Amino acid sequence: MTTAIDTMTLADLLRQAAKAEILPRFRRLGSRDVRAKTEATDLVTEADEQAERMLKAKAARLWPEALFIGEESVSADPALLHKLDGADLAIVVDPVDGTFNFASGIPAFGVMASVVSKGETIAGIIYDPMGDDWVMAEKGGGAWLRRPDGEAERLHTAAPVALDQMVGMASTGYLPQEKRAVILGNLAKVRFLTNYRCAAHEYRTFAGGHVHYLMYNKLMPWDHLAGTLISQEAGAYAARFDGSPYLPHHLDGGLLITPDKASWDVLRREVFTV
Amino acid sequence: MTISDTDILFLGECVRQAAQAEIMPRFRNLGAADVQEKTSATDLVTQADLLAEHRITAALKERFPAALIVGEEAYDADKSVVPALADAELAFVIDPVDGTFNFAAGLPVFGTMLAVTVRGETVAGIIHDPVLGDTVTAIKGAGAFLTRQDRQSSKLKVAEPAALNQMVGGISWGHMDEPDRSRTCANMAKARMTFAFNCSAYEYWMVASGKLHFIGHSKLMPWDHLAGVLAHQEAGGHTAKFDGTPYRPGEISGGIISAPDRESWQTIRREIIGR
Repeated sequence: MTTAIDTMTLADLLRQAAKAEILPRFRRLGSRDVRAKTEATDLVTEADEQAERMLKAKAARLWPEALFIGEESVSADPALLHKLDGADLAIVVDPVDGTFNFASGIPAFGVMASVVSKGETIAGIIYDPMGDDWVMAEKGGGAWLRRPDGEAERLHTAAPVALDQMVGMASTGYLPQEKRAVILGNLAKVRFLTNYRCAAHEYRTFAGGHVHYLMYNKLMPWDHLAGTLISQEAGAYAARFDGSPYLPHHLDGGLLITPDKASWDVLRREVFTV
Repeated sequence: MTISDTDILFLGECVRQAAQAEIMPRFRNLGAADVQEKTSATDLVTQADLLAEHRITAALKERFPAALIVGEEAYDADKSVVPALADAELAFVIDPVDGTFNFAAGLPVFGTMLAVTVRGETVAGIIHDPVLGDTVTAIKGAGAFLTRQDRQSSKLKVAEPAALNQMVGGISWGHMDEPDRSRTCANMAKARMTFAFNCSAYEYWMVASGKLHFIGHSKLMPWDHLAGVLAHQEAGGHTAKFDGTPYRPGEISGGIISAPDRESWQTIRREIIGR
């Protein structure tokens, strides 16, 4: 699919921002460089803010017609988020996904961007600053792991397995407390649960065929648009808990992603009984 | 038998070199033939594990010819090496790639660990991050330190105690049986935020640095825990088995919890592990 925004150019911008503003700060943040937003575990650092500033400025020069939506821009101006649904063309950015990890010194964080056109995600990019590579997808073009030297490898989700053999990731922290205990208890039915607190790496791992499910409840678009498209292009079945497709304007309703519909149904019935 | 500062520097260098030579060139670069399943699809061993363990073992044997050397591969060949840790005069316990599942999946959350035990007591522990080259070193009675690749060093300290609903932590329940498994899983809802990194190297590093409040494990293979437990204790934390007794080299069952202090430990034991 050709769009007004060249995906590889946008991918390179994410890499530049990581090299200029994110990596030099990893394990070097002073106490004044990290601030809590809504609570002690919801953090923002100098790296998030400076990387988003850089991406926004570069995007404005390259694609002046596109609406720019970033996690930190929306923190400053929540109304910005509502403009996404009606936009002809928008770039949605998470400058540092996994800020808690980044601020703690855990190397599971990423830089993500998606391109949204008329309410639909048409491209998604996840850059990993530590490994210096991307996973990315354009709608209809498959999911790809790309390296800066030009090497590319097509990604495919894992083969489906029985419930008690499934390995996956579920973010239960945003569920209502009574649901959370039930779902955590249900999760004892799977082989195991991991939770890296970083959607970028979780989607990357899923699209690479290493795990069998992803579950999220809080759906901020910068956290999930890119990864959902990449997963679907790698062959995944993705839907909200009510079975409807996940779209850029959805902020809740759950999101469950699996290698196929049969895995989705069994997890929805046995584990994610929301 | 004592371990000198020069020995500690040698051990750090030995781990760093193995990580650079055998682990990093294989990260995101493994062929299908380079990864083998051991007991299940999530219990993996790669060429990086095998070759790094060989390299570290060879270097240790040269400098400490009489020492007992315990690694996952050595254990697979001879199970008696683990109980022998309880009274070995000098032993080294190696985890060449801790977090093999992550490593093989391309997640940069893995580490190389080395513990030194003298007559059943852990006297030194090293947790190394092969990706960035940073290292946590713990020495019995002297503290736990993070040394950056540029040699800057800082002392580690566990988190301040907090109420359970404000704690961030994780319990690895993957090896628990029912009914403990479901109960512990559901009880994690009482904590503020949960993690499952699938990598004890990072879990101990983070709990010793005060970034996480608690971690717990049901399976106690020595290469996964000895270095990390010493780092946590030297950073001021309280670690004990589920029955409240200290965890010692050579033990492989009984479950373990690491918390900021004794009181938090008891809260987690009662409210999360339960029973």
